Amino acid sequence: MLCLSISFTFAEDTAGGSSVARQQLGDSPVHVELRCGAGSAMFAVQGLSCMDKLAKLPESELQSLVQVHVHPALTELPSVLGSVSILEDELVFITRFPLSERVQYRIDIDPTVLGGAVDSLSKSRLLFSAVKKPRGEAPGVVCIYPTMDVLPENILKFYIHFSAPMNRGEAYSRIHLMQGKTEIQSPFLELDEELWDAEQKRFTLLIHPGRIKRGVKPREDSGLPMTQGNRYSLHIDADWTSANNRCLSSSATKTFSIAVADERQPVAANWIVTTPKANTKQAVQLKLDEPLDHAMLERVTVVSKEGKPILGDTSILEHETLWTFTPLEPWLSEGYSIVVSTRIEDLAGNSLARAFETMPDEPIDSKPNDSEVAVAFNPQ
Amino acid sequence: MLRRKLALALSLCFAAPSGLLLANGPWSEGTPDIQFAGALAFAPEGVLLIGDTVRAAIYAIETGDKQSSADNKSINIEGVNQKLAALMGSDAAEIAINDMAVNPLTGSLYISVSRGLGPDAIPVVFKADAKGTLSELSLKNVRFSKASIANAPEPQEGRRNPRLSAITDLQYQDGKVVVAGLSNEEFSSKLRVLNYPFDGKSKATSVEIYHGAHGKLETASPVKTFVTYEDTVLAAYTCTPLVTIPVDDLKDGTKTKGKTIAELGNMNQPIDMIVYKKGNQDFLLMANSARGVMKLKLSKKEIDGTEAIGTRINGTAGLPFETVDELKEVMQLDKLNEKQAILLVGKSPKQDIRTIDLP
Repeated sequence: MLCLSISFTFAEDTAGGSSVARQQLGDSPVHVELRCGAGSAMFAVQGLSCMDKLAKLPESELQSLVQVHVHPALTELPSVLGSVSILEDELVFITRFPLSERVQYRIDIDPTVLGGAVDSLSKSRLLFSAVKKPRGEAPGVVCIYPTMDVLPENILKFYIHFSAPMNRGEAYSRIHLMQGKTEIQSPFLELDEELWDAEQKRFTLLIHPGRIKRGVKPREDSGLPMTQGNRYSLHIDADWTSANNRCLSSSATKTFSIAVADERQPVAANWIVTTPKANTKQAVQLKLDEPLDHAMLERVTVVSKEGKPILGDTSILEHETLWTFTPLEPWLSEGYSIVVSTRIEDLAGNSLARAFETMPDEPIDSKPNDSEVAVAFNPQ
Repeated sequence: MLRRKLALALSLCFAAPSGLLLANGPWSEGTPDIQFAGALAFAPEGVLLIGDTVRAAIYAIETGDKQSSADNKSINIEGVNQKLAALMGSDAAEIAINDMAVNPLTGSLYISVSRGLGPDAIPVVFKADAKGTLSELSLKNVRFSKASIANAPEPQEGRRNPRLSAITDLQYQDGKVVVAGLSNEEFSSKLRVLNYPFDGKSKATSVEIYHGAHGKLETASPVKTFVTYEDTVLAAYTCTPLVTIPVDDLKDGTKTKGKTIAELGNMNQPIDMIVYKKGNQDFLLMANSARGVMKLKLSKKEIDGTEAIGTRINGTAGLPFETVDELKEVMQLDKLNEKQAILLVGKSPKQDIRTIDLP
């Protein structure tokens, strides 16, 4: 059985339709060329003498002349989705999906097509494998929020920021909550889909709410995952792969100690505004009464007295207790407001609107939690 | 009779929706801009509903798969993930099976898949039939409609990553599509209810879901999976209680508390639930990450009569449930027909589709 193996380097920026590999079949005039595009690949069989005959074949017979399989297949796996057609003087197989560098591809050509050019008793097989040129630096963990190194016993979530888009599906096996050398069992809420932002560069890690909420079975059976007075670390394995299939440049660890549970809501009335000067681009600053959720702080905005959004850049500093905003255009000498959703949470999930856990005799606001707090300031 | 009552109850609740969220549009021909094929459910007439977390939308796709089947035959496919990967020119480590749903009209199984695991993963839907044949459901040039479930946009939202809600479950019920979501930022839970067919005009109803532990402390409670049973939604919370929420309580812009009827306990993530009848008795079958499959006896009277669990749980309070021991590592579950369920069993590198008799 004729079986030739071809390796090629597949650069990510390969221009659509360009040839990445070409192999001659023995001494015959037949060649197979692989051309790659953005959404698919084309295996083109060239130098066939029977093109006229092929053009007259019924569709179903044409489709069976060329097949592509992933290789090696341990058991009988279906062939790769795609379609066969005639493109000028080539018999081509166009794949439904782009190629992957994780597998080899075996192209099987019906020997009757080759017209005696090679041993016609065996199907001619060619193997192609792609090696993606690694681009850029290996990804890394940029930051883990909250940045404080003393956290409340009922901390609800962490955000892990990566420098590049990551792969879905392995998060919970790459993150470990440790107390010394002991791993805490099942502290996190695990979702099949995981919780990513749209770019898959920010991962939301929720502590299992059943282990935090008082009066539910997981807390009663297993207790809080972390308890006051102890030190823990959140460890991220370097094996976590990016969307470019590269591992992290190094593992990452956040070490912290645990203090008393936080059952108090943040209070907007306790926040302090530092008003910038008019006609400058000085930052307006809002000093908070406790660290708040980093992602939700990024959604705090500034509006003019007419309610028009002001463009500028936000920075979140001092362990998420200081929010600052630098405008693109100088401040006018008039009233502005910093607008904060009442949904904004502290590290234990207490929001401006409600505590994480409330007593039922506290009035339940019948309106939804979609209101805002406006903190006014007036540059002079 | 009961189904009509449910339909009436739902229509009275939603007569004048005033929710925040806009539906996108009625039917059109073309290629929907799906970015992630996640949660699946079926609406009538062979219409497949697809939840797309990244687009924050539900797509309704006409599959054309409507030929009623007299007997829905068993579907068993060994190594289904490896076969899907091979069809897509990849290997099992580079794909993810996101959800599966049975077309109740024909007994065909539909599977939503990601080809690739990064943000540019290609969303694909496959169909499996009783012969074990896997074929792609083309999402190009189809008849489809779309309903947005995005959060109301904030000022300057364009320059920032939008908040996303992972769509944890999706169901069609009597002219409505119910969607459960879990935000990737705030700790909140919303059930959104959309009019179906999506008409591009009516707004989604938004209901905040809460849980009351022992009748005392109340917290926001994301719903992991749910199923409708008579005029009730049976929902499993991420913090693990199993609750009932009367459909009448799902009024737009309100908050509602589920009544706890069972506690699932630690190391136990509810994945999928189905309701079925055996003889004269209704049952709930629930797939959980750690415990396998659990079976609860259901009756409206018992659910209505069961006290909300108010005392310390010792594993026996609330509705009793039994674990079906022989079923482990069940990742997905759906009803195949009145007598059988279909499961996705196992994790990478090998996953199988198996049909079982309902226990």
